[in-house]
Amino acid sequence: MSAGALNRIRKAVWTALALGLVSAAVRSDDWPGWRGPRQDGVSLEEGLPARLNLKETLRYKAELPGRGLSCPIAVGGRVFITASSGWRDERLHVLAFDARSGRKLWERRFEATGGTQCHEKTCMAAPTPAWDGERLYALFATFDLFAFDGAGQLLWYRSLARDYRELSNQVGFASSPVPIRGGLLAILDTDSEALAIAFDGPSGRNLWSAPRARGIFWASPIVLDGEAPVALLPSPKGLNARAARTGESLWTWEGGLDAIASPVTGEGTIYMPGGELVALELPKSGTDPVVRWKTNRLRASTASPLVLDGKAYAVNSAGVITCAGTGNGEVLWQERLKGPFSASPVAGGGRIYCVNEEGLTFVLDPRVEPRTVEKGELGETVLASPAISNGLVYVRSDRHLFAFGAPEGHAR
Amino acid sequence: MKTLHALILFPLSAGCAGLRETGVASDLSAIRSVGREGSGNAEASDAARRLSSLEASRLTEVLAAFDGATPEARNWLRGVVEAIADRTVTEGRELPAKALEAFVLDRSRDGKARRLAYDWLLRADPRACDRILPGALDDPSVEIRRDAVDREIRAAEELLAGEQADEARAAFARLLPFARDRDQVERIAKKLEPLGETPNLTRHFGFIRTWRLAGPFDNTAKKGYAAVYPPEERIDFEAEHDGKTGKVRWVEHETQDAYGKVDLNKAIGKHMGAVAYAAAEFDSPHYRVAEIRAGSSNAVKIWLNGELVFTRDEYHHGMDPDQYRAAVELRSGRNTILIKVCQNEGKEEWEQDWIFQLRVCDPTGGGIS
Repeated sequence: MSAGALNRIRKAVWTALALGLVSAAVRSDDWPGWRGPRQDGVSLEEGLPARLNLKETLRYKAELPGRGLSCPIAVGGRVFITASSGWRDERLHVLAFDARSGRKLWERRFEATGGTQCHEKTCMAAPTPAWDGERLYALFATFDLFAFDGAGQLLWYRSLARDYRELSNQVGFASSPVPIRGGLLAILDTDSEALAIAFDGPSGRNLWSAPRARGIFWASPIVLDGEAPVALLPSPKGLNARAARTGESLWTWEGGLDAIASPVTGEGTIYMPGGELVALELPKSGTDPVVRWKTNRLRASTASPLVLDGKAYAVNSAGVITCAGTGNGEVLWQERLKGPFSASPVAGGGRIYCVNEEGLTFVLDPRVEPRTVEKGELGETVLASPAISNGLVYVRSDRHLFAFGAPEGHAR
Repeated sequence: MKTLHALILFPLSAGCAGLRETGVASDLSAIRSVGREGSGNAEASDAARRLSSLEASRLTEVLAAFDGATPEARNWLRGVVEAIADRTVTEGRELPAKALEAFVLDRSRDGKARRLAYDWLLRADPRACDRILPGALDDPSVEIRRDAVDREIRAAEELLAGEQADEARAAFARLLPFARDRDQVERIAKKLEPLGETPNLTRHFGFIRTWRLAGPFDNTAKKGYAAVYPPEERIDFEAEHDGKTGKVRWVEHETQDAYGKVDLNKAIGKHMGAVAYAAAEFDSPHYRVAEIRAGSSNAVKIWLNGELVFTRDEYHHGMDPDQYRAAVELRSGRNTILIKVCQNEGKEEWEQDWIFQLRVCDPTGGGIS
């Protein structure tokens, strides 16, 4: 690649970051994949519920046919979700619900073609589905990948465990694929095989694939849309940026990253969890990425960090949420919630929504002093991160899809 | 004029029907032709879209296409069956219960297709299980068999709860040979033991307990997984080989574990960064299809009669008796099974296991002794 071309791509990356562009093919009130429309866990909506509880704000709960750590996604008035069930967790479910009523629109069931052994905490419905503007993609921990139209028509299917015979993560694969323009990007890292693949949306064929260092890894990539979409691929050894449509490597930053929590972008910076949270300013035209700051006060746990209104948030394994300024990483406050948390926090309307593994909900409003923490109890195990779309906050448990909205007729 | 129309239109409509029939067969063929890495997906996608618009009365034709299909094609066909059936139910129309039941009862059909048909049959007729399950204890579909066994376990447990111990013991004992899934087998065995029965689970599952072992060979930096040591080239139980710490000879070993677990740390000695081979001879009275199922915390390779049938380069991610499965063909007479078990150099406590277990079973999971 010429220096000029590289500079053009770098400029495009910077423009995309500055404008907050992630996917041009979705509406702002959609939640089309892992951590929402900008892949940062933040919704730009207002009018969201001030609390998540069964008495005041529950709009509906829909029964699910199996477990899942995958998050719900919401697109065009439909909520899509995956689940797995069966004695060996070999049955894979993809479901669509009407977003307003919770009525099931369709369900498709498939068989696992990869291994299903995993840690008891997880299951085969662990990666979050994704929507690229035209197609729904459902990847399972068995490495079965399905593409549908919105009505449930199967468009294509790949058994990646049979395409790549050594793909196997018997702890339980969970990295979520993310949409690229007209396709999908996935990190498939296991001890016995590891690669990144970009799939062509219409055909399901590989646009490109790139080998990666072998080792189990659960974090998800980020795709920055724009003139030249860029894939940001985290790994235990750092961050690799590639041209999303061609796979061409653009630059690499070396440093230790967490294998579970995923990075987020915001304000021209990527915030990468690990032993320390690293704020890396992404390269402007002709420059290299620059570490703005890093701090071990925002250590990673299972939950991924959140960046909202000039502040970075991390929830640790003890259930403490820590807030730091994005300017220098200086810790501003901490609040003890009740852990443990597997779900990552999401935010909308200025509020932060957290759900712990026991199904206890916490809604924080960091804009007011003292910070309010509204609590609720769902009474079911929750390991998946919430989603926000069209005024509703969605939470999926092991058994149900919950939809919460501000009470009708009340100020939200 | 009407007659003229009829004369013109009849051949046309008959011709269209013929084309339609050809189209369904052609579409099913397109789906069955999908290959690896997405090859054939474009044709299959078009075919699936057309097939998904078929009436529910055609469901069994799609289900029949499962016979001999690859796992990829089966999932494509599932997508079609689910679309047709789901649409039919959503629109409040009836599924073809009689045809589905006939398909379920036809054991010559693909087991996974039969189970799918059974699931939709229950949606149409929830009482169908009362007709099908009592005769399904020996069903070749392990998923249908599981439901049949579960139903009988609950019946036997009711006998036990009703203090009919003799009847319960007889019911559990009669049931055990049909059970395949470990949870069900263990549930039955736990009921039988207090009733004075001691099931032989080693034989039930077909675990091999007697092995010849050779090792350690070198696996420093995990390089031994790819290395070809002499046992992979030729098994000679009298031979002596250069090992990691000196000369290596084959030694006989019999594990006392009911599930055939061989602890190599005890059988060969504690070694890190090491490879061990285990060989067993298995006599089959005739040719038959079978499965080799193995579990290990370590990276493994498995050969049957010199042919590599399974590989997995993964360390310390748990162990389960049916963790790894390889469909194989046993030849009449003596068969030789060889498993290579690679230990890495991990320092953590949970990385110290060097262990495997292996069984030979029929495709449903029933042990072959």
